Amino acid sequence: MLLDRYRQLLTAYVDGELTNRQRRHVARLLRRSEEARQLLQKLQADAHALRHLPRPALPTDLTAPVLRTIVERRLAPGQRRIANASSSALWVGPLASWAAAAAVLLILGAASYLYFAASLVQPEKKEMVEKTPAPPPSAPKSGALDASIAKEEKSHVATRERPAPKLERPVGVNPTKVVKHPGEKPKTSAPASPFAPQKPETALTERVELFHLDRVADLLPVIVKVSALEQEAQRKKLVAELRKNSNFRVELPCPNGTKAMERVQSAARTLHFSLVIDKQAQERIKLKWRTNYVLYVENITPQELTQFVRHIGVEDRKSASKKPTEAQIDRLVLTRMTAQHRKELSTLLGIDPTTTAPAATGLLGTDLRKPISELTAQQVGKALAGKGDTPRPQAGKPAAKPPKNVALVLPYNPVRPSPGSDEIKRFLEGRKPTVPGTIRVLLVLRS
Amino acid sequence: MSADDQRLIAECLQGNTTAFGVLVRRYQERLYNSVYRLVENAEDAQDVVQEAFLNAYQSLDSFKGDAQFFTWLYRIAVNTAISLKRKRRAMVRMETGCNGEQNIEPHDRSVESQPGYAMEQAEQEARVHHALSRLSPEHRAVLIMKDMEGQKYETMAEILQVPIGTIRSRLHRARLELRELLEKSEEEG
Repeated sequence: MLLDRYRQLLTAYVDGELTNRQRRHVARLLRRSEEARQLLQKLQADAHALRHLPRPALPTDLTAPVLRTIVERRLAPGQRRIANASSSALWVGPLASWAAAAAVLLILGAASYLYFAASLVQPEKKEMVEKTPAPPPSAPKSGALDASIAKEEKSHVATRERPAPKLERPVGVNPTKVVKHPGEKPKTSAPASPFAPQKPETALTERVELFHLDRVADLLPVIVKVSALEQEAQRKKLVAELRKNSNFRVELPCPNGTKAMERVQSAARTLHFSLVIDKQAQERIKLKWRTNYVLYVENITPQELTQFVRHIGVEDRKSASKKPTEAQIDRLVLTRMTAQHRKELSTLLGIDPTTTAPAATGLLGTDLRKPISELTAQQVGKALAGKGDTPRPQAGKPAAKPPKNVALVLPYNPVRPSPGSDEIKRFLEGRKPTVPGTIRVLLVLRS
Repeated sequence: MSADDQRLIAECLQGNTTAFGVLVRRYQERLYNSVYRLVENAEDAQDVVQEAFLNAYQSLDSFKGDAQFFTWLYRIAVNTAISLKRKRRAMVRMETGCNGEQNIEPHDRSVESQPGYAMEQAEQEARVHHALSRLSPEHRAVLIMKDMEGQKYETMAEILQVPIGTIRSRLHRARLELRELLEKSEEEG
């Protein structure tokens, strides 16, 4: 009996979707195996029979009935949304299922907590609340939301432009208060994310402020089809999403992380990004070992990140144009960096860069914490050897500008990290103070 | 996407339903061919095709134009057909050929000169048709798209909204399952 992997090769051969290497493999298999030859012959005959099944002719022209129905039911474009190839709203895949399950658990947990907290409140305190002043932005949020997210909001408001939510109900309302709005429809608060699911509005005569659905929606991952970033509207949506926070985790699921890394390198070259590649990662790329990778970059604008991901998609499509099986990048999954993600980052780098400020630097980019003589000596030595951060200007030519964006590339191995590499140290030493309007991103390429 | 399709879609979005009629006339036959093989019933196939066009009309503003219009329409139809098949019990209905058959295009009879050829051909078609009908809707869909529509893995993945690897493995299982069914059918004579 033929092994299943040989049978898979044969069925793919019938599909006509083999690479040259696979075709040569099939040829060798057919030369040595009578069973393989017989099976291939039968599969090809079956495919031939399918192709030549009679084509049923349409009994009646459906044009008139379709147009009549459109008029009778008063249908119009825009009444129904169906996820299409370029829509970023839906992705029926495991990540979307997990995200939905996580959201359900979060809502249930929040509801349970607030229910039991509410049951401890005395009855006379349950009264109608029309309006209470919104707490100042620095006030901690109530509810069972991640405290680190609340802290992030606190620092985030000072540096980011964010539209003030219009609230009929207060942001940090005491969850024990019962709000009675006879016959009134509740109004939505913050503007909904273009990628967030629609919230149904219901007219309730009595409702309890349990939690904030808009905040839950904000915590859900955003999934975007990379090829959709060829359209300006989609790029703008992604940029808008990236403006909502300052720390993100972007995951690019891919069958082969090393091949995906090649696309990243090509995109980085096109956009003049500098990649500081850890030595272990360099070896794996060179040996083409199937590996997952992570990139960490700071002080990148939402537009620059969007362009970077877009170009990764472009490079991937170029590679896949000759061999469709070589396609690596399909979607990106964008989430705000949570405490768990920061812990992962700390494990990989040895420090948490989101809470550790870059080294204080003087005008010449020197680390003021180190003795001047030692550092100066190192830098002078590097500059003389032409290995400084800024390339030595050639005679008669202007000095090359250092790349604006520098990303650190590591093998993605949070279980057995190696944070002490020279490349990581060099990257951390070269960190610059946070520029307003930019973000930090952990980009993960993994299968 | 062809420039003509783009123009027609733009006119539809401006309220010109006649432009949509042109699109229906252009693609209904091809859509029906594939859907018929999925649902194996002329009436159901017509209903699915009609429903697909109505859904497509209502969702026209969300069609971004980065794929062929037919591919997008096909996806709507395939999903509708698969849902229908799942709901209903699979019934094997043969649209047998006879004089005056209206819904199967006639064969090219020029090769059917040997005695008994027509009978053999009809029997073979019936076996393949029967085996196809016994596959699950997902397996049937990928075989129809690959062998009858000539679609590539990538297009099929777009249509069915699954990864290319899933398409590859579904086709693999579908082909082997079809082979198994045909062998059983040949043994039973």
